[in-house]
Amino acid sequence: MNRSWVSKFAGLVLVLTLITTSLVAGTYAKYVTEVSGSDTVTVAKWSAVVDESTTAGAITFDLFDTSADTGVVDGLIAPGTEGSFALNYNTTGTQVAHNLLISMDVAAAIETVDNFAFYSDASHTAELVASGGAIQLLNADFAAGTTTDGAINVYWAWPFENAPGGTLNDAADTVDGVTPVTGAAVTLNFTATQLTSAP
Amino acid sequence: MNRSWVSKFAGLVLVLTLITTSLVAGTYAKYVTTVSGSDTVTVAKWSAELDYNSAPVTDGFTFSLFDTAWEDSGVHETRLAPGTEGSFTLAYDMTGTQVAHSITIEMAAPGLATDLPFIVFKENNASGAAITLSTSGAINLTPGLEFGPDEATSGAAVVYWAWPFDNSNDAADTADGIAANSYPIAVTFSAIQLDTI
Repeated sequence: MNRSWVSKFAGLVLVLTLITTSLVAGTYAKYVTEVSGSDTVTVAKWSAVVDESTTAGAITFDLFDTSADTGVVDGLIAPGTEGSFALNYNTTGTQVAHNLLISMDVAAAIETVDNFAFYSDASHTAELVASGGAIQLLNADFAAGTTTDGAINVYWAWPFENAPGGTLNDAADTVDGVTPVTGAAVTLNFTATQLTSAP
Repeated sequence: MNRSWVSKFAGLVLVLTLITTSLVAGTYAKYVTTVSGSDTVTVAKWSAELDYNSAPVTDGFTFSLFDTAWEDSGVHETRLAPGTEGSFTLAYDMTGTQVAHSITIEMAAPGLATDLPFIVFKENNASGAAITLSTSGAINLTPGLEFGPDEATSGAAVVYWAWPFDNSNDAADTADGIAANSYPIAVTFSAIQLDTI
């Protein structure tokens, strides 16, 4: 009985030895070169800020501030009013190529006011004309890492009177005042979009 | 046959769906920031109404001193003569106007001032302040009327006129009657926007 148990144990040891030998034999029996590498992954940053704090959604602009004009009720436009507004944008820190698109939707009713106009310059020489109800103010591509910190300025004016010798607009202005446009919307749209390749 | 066609079409739709899905996936998978802001713009209203003897009038309206004469049985209805008198009212209503503005009502009758100096014009009525016509142009019946954008304005200029019947000017009146001339007389109403006030 004892002999039989010993024989079985010896056989088991033999089998286990053969198995483990095949598993560890490589450690001692062939050439081995081991190389390991490591890295970390970091997501490219995206930063797009409008007017210093807004990063998404809708904001309210006061585009037509006429409070400094003593000749018209505050908040309204009339011949002799003028002003400007700016949309500040900042994508500094963005680590991907991107496109910036800034446009301004202008209600059709505003275009019926004959002598009111938007301009891209303070001297009112470069008029911004709406096409299809919108004025494109910026459409530019930027490479990854490019600093894009700027502002789009829009000027508007309704001249009180024309230059000497020019055509007087009194009649048209008066008509626009008798049936005034009310509540015509102007919407500024800012969109920053990642580009799949460098511009 | 139909079943085969349906199977092929379904297969095509499946393949196209898989292809387009991969193409438009980027639309939803890239960085995008969108901000919009809006405001509204409203034009200041302009409302100017002139009434001549309580009736609204527009540019080019007919003004006649004879229209304003009080009934006088002693003279032809469309003629002036010693003893005729009358008055007219020019009223303005700028209510609702939202810009600064001035009001001017002018009267011009240089021929009367030169040839018929005995005809008198006065403010409001017979006992009102005398209005002296200009011999060369118009006079302002409502000087100094300027209003801010928030001021609702309405008012009137009333002018009394008369050719006195008994004024010891018989000789001159008679001479004027013999000449029987016609003289232009015009009133002008102006409501003008002011840039500032």
